[in-house]
Amino acid sequence: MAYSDKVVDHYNNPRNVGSLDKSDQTVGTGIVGAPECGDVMKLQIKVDDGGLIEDAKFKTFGCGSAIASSSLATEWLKGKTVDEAEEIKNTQIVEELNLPPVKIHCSVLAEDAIKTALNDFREKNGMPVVERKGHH
Amino acid sequence: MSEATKEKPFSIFNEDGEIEAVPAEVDHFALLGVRRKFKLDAETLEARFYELNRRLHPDFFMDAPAAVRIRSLDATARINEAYQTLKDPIARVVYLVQLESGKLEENERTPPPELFEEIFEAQEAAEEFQCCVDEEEAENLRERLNAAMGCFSALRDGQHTALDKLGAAWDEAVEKEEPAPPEVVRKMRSILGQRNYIENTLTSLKRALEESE
Repeated sequence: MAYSDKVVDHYNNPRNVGSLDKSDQTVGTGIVGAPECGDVMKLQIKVDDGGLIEDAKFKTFGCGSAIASSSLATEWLKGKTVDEAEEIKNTQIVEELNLPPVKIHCSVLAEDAIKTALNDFREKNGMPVVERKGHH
Repeated sequence: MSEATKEKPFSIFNEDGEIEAVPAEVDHFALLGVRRKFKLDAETLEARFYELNRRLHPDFFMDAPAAVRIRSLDATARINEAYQTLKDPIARVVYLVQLESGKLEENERTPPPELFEEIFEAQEAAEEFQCCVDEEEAENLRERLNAAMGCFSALRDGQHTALDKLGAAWDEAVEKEEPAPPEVVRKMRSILGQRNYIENTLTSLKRALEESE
């Protein structure tokens, strides 16, 4: 199976690799994994005083599609409000990266990581967390 | 007894000894004619497989009508897959658990935080080690990687021991024609849900250490 050019690009030049201080009140952390393939993903956001996501970082140990999905996710997160970020869907990632059906779970993982990070931020700051609904 | 644990004898051949189309829902155990259990006698399994393989082999059906040739090909592919899955103890556990209680992907995606912390630490150390140029630093990292190897190998061994025990409990229920105890199923799913994380981490650690040699 060949990866799309966009996946290869994110894989070779991942954006925003790294970590933020997870004990920082303005940082939300999402750590998730895919039991079927063993990929693990950590995604973090830092929210500024105005409620905008000023920084996003990720660390993914897994296949190229999982790395590309999380790299793309951090790009999309920057500059959004927490509520806007909630609207990012795995299907948008699939579309942008041209992921084949066997790699859709990588995009689901990225969406899960985003939502977990957003809820971690909300929880830290006394905001109501958003119930997870079924996805895919 | 639940529908899933009921074992109906299935045969690929009809009364006249002709190959029948194998319905998709026939599982690997039924296909090879062994009981749906964790413990399987490797010799029996092998014997069943070779016996079927001899009768089904597409070479015998070269002059047969196209429909028969196709059935022989399909059946051969099915018994191959069944045999490959059932002869490997881990693949068999994964298969049986999913057969009885649904796909593992449906497991909770949020894994135990302590395990994940250790995984990230080990993976990051492996990554650092691979691009580390400072000798002293590399020596420190190597020690950490070796320690992590020990720790994750022990985790894997622990999983295998636990799976053996749980599998035995499950088989005991099967022997009594009872459904598997829910607690046993739950524990097995949880272990199998973590298995790939542990395996992947071990692979990364091993690769990092080997490349440095």
